Amino acid sequence: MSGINAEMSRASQENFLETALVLSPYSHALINAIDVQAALDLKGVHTVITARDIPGANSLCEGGVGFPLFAEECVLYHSQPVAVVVAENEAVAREAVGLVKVDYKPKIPILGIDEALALKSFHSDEQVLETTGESVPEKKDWHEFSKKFTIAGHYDGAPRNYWSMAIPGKDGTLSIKDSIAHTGAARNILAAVLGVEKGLVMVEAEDEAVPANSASAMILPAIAGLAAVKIGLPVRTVLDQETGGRMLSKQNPLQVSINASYDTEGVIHRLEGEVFMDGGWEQDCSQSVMHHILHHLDGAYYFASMRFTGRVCRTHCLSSGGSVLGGKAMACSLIEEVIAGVAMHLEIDAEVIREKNLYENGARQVTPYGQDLDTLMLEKVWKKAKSLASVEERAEEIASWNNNTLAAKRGLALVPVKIGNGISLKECRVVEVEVCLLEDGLARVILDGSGAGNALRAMVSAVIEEQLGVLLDSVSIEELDDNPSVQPGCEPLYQEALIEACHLLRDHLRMVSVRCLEEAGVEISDIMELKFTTDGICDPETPDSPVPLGLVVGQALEQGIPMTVSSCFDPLALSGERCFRGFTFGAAAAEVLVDGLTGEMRVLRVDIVQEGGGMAQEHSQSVIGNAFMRGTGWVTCEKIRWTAHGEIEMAQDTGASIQALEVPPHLYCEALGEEIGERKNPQEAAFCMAICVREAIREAIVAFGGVTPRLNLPHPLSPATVYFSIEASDC
Amino acid sequence: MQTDFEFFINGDIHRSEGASVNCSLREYLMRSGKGRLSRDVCPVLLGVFDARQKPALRIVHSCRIALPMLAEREIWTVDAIGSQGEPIDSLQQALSINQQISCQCGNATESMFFSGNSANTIKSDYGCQHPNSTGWLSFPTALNALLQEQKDLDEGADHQIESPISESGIERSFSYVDASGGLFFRPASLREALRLLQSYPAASILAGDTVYPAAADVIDSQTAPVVVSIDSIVQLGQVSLHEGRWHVGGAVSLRAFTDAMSSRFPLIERMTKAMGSLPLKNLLTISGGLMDELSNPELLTVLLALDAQVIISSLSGERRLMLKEAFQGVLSSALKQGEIVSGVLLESPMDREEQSSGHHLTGFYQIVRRHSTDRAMVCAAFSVMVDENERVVRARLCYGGIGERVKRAYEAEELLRGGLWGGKLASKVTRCLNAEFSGRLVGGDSVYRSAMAGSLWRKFFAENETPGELFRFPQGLDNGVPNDSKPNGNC
Repeated sequence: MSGINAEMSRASQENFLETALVLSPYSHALINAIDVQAALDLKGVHTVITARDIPGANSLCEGGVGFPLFAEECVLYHSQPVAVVVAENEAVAREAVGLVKVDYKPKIPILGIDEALALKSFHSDEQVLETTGESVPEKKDWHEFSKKFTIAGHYDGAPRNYWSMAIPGKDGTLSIKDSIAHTGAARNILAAVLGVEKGLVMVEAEDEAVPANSASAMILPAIAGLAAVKIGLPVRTVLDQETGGRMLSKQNPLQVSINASYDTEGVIHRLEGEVFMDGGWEQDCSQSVMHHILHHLDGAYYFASMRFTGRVCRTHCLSSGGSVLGGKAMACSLIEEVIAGVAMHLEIDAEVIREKNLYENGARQVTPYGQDLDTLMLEKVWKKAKSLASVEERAEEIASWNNNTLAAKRGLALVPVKIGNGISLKECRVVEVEVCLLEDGLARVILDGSGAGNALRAMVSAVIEEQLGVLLDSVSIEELDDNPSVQPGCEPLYQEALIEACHLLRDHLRMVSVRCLEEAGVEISDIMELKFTTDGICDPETPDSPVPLGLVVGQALEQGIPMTVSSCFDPLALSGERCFRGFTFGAAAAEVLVDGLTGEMRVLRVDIVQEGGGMAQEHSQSVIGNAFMRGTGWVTCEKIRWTAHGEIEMAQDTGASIQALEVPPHLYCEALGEEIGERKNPQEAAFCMAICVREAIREAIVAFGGVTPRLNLPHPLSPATVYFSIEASDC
Repeated sequence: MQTDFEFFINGDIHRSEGASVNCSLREYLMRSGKGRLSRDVCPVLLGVFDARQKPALRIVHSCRIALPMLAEREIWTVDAIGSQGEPIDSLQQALSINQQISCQCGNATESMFFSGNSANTIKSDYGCQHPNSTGWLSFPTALNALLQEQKDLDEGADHQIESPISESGIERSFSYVDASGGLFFRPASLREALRLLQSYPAASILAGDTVYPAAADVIDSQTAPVVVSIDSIVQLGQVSLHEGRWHVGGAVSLRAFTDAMSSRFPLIERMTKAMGSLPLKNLLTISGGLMDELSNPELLTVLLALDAQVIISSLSGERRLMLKEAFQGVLSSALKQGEIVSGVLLESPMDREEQSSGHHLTGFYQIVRRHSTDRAMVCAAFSVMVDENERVVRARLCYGGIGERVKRAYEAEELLRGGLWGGKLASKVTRCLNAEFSGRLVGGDSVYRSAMAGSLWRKFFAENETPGELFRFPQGLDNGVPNDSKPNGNC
């Protein structure tokens, strides 16, 4: 029954017209002419749309410049849409696609980073991350370690069908339902493409939509919208897994050169290098991902001198959509390559090298971008993870086991991480919220971004309930249409502003609440500790005697106390050289078993220690464990392959494993008990901690007898790459 | 012919209301307005009759169930039964180990619960839960607990909630026409099914989750589809022994097949232990598995190694083909208009007179990307008979996923025959296998898959270097061999 899905039948029942795309068979070509007449003549075809038929801008970027929807004069990547056929049904549409004649003049494409470097083909200037302060003089007894390697591109989600449905309204409106959850930018972009007012376009995501992280996610809704507006009938566009895989952006590969200077103890003093990303034909998310890579390259380690440049290469591949963590996980993986290399050169355990280079209080607590760290937590999680996992004892036992086993080897690694929370402050703007309490106990929240999305709305509801005791169904959330869309990753900033607004409201209500409680016969134990629960406002010592919030608000309004407050989060107003609002620290140990005959790997045991993230500890553990397993999927997933013509290979068994890996027999997560506030996202750090699985696999491969894997270990590590790493090692 | 049918979801009655023959259960759940299904896993418990015709609940993926298959049947699902603002369903509550701290989680596991219990309580040995989920009870465990609880509450009442299948049963024929004219038949007998195929030459046969012939893709069809489901034919749902040969009906699920045959066929036992996905085993049938070798290489590989015979039925009678003969091309090419794969015949190698002494060495290996849920990327089934002088008297080396189709390694088998079992012979066979599978293969990781031909053989030999003394690989790499002995080996 494969192929049956809800959208298809639903659409056919509701008489949607179907579409089929004319895709470029070349990665780079000039388009001399497009002849659609034969397709138009086919019975059942309603229209064929090309770039020239777009009433607005042929662009899927805000501002209407860049990322053209349809290739117009030039094809810039393989499978770029050139035209779309709209027909009675899918079969007719597909047949008509074969009748559209496109006269291409193929050109030599730039494929891969090496070709881009040779031709100096870049998207923009390089980004630079350089240690602030005085330079570190080189010493004679320092050693040098250099390495050049690649982190392959990857999918960051399970293969799936993508679809979009557009229904034109009688009043000139257009409703679009999509399988991808777009930010508020979607409406602006679609309106610009269609050449209509933004207010006429409505975009809704299905319940299980995947979040958009690339302009390519706008291709389907834009096509469905264009067709629906042109014909005046409902139109549906569907991409099967294979076509979607070829057209929608992924995380593209990186090429890294690293040079490390370290002493005989294994302390790395200087780290330099270059990072090049295959940005594909458009910048898309590349610059943001590169920003995060550079700002996480230090990992949990202090380097007195660090200089990295990052540059996005312009090629004729798909654009880079960014991964789930926008480069943070890739940076964590990258720095561990340095640690492994130094460990190999000095013949010292990698754990020892990691420990020697950790950030510490004092002179070793400032990041390369000048932000101070609270290194106490890092020290705590490292020590706790080390003892929890009994790393030293188990390492001995594993070494002994490996000596007596030829067919399989075990590996163990303990890795620390430091993750900057959420979006980098250098990338974001001021966000504002307004909270208003009404006499009937309702709350109204106004956000300054449009298309806020479900995650943000859920956060708002949770905060209002927690801070003011107003339940979800009593909260209305409004988005200001005129303001820019919410940036992905900005939710924590809104949360911070919202909490501050709630605190202001609580201050406004405090004295009125006290009076109301006293009138109700409640003795106030602490005026500063009044509780706002879903039953009302109460004294902490008499929670059974609350006064309704609506009553208190009513009295406050009578007294002229403002019940509408606003608050904002302004990253520029922060003092000092803060790049991130804070950091999450964690350390995890993983033990793996690797089959030398097949390259298969099993995670046997995982011990994770991380900051708690402000959640209930047990809940936090579950979230951390789940994110860790997703990270494990990432480090062991399949890489993206391109053909020599720049087309993504979509072999039938090339499925992404990033979201699904079995839970190991032993997975223990411990969240340290400190109250660390709500600013931190424990999932990001947990995802990145899965790098320890990769490092454990490296140790297991090394145990097969060779040293080569210490230096050259592919990324990601599928059974195939593990198998060939063992085969290639000098064991 | 019915234009409507009833089925039961979590005890509530539902009606098809003209739903398309093509409609999947997952689609129905989403369309019912309550759906918040997880993206890639959508487990439900389906009421079926097991191989002994006893009612049972089986975990399956709702995306692979055609809605008309559910007519008069009962399912239980945790997905799509809770909506925002509504109370949590009792089944969802029962799933959480610690209900006090559970929460509904988004991201990769929509509508699934997380509770924060420690690793000690992680239940990972059920194929029915999301592989990322931690702190969960298994679906069947939760449902059983819930049903028991409700049974206790309802004691003395008329409602028989423990029955997974409605009283009306599923033996009687069922036919349905959807709003677009699509036809769905669930015949009760093989003869009836064959007559339907005669009446509707373009009909597709639905066996488990497989539709054949493959060309009859109901999605691409421009005409209303005609589907004949053969899973309710009692005659095809049986496993029996006749004259020393096992007859396995085409509608027997892989799970029922392995339950019935594992104790008699060591190779099937190995396959059973190696295959992790319960939903897959529950829905895949013998008939469907034989017709879709690309998706289900495991079953076919094992059957090929067991010298199985395929039974093909038509109105004019029954014909039998050795599986190796049927697989000169894809099996579907051996199937003629109006024919159904109605079963297989198996004979245990140990039962054969000439091979009653010595050792029967068997091995089944598979490489999967997602251990508990995926189908095999590469699999291999080995069956080698060694006589008391340690000479190989019979060898079957079969591979799935390496070439375009399931394949026997004839050259390597020939090399083995008559040879003295040992490292020297095994090395020769490894080289032979590597050469036999060295051509350009289609699909991802082709070089790796090719290399696995020799590697999996080496693994088999490492396990069986000394006939009768099985070496156990470390847990997790053992492909179903229990690990309770020395962690050593030479490959």
